[in-house]
Amino acid sequence: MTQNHTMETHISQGIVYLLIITGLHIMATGSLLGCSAPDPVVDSETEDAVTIEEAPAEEAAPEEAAHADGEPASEEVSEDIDVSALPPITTLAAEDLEVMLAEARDADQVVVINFWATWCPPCLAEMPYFVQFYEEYDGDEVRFISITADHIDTLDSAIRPYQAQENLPFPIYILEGMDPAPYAEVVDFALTGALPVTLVYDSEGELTQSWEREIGFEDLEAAVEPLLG
Amino acid sequence: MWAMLLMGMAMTALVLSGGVAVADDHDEKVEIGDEVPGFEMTDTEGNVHKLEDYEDKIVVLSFYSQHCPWIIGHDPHMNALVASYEDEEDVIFLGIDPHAGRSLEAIEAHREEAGVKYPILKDEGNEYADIMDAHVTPEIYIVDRDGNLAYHGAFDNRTSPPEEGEVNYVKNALDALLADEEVAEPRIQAWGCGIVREQ
Repeated sequence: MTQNHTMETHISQGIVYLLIITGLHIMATGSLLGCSAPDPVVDSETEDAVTIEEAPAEEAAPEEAAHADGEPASEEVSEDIDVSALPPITTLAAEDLEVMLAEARDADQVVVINFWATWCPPCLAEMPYFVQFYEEYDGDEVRFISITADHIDTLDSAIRPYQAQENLPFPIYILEGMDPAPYAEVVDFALTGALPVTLVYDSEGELTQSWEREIGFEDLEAAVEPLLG
Repeated sequence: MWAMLLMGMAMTALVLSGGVAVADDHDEKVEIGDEVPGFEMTDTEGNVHKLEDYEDKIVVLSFYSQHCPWIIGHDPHMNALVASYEDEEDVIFLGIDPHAGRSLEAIEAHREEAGVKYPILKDEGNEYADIMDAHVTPEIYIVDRDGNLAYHGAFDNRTSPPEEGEVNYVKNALDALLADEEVAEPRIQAWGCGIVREQ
């Protein structure tokens, strides 16, 4: 596997990091911006089950509505972070992802891919479920791949602070460029620019489940369990 | 294009709901150079807009959401762009809110707060978003004077919601069209918030 441009050299230049968190702290708590409900099993009358967008302000809780209206929901946090202890963040070309999927197929692994971004509130809301999923499932039988659509230029200002803040246990890959087309071909799913997107593949590499919306842990379990031996 | 629109309207049922009417006879994606399907939608001030009202104009259609960080980030820059074409009568800006469960009143409240000067139309049932295959906000379509799609995609090349990009694709497309030139970059992938569609 050839993963380009490892960021670690760059990152390790500063062992002590000034962590500036703008909005992420609250955004990551879920239930924000009225985005898709954390629990995907929602009432059929709500739109939350199908998209990443936020629910109408009039249906949001007061604090959600305030955030949804663009009011400051951020705070600055300065914190000493030992970035050397964090999992790697690397850029990922489409061909690298293709190799990664081929390797998983050869190893008879079920694969779960999550496309997300720090600017995407529902992505952050569902992130704890991926942390839980990674900790419970990632291993010989399952490969979890976390891919952010954040631009590489925001590595220090957005991606790394969020990784540190949430203590994300898995490696993070960054899309090369902002064009999802080559990745869409590799993952066999039409990436439209909307996030989050989560894809599940069986051990033969067939796409068996896809979501272009926020999901919950139960969704992941329900999609993956039947694929395991 | 108007003859085709009228024919399409005659052959298919127009969906009339909440002041929205769109032809639903378009099964294929609208590609660059294709005729842009017509619509009839009501804005937050109660005015009805039809694409045919803007024949021979250059029309910017921007799928919009008052909650989306990308929209909120782009608002001041879009507003500035709109202001820069204030004296250009041939350029029309229209926002379109396609999200389920979002009232005209809520959209108007944000519009005033954000200083949005251009009308925002309500796409009831996200029917026009479906026809145009729009998925995110902001996602922008520019219709040329002949009624064909001249640009589709991102507002600019920003890499995060609040930071203005160095290249404004919409401005570049508009300037090209006003100069009767081809749009150099007619299709740029838009990233943003997903559209909340009706179930």
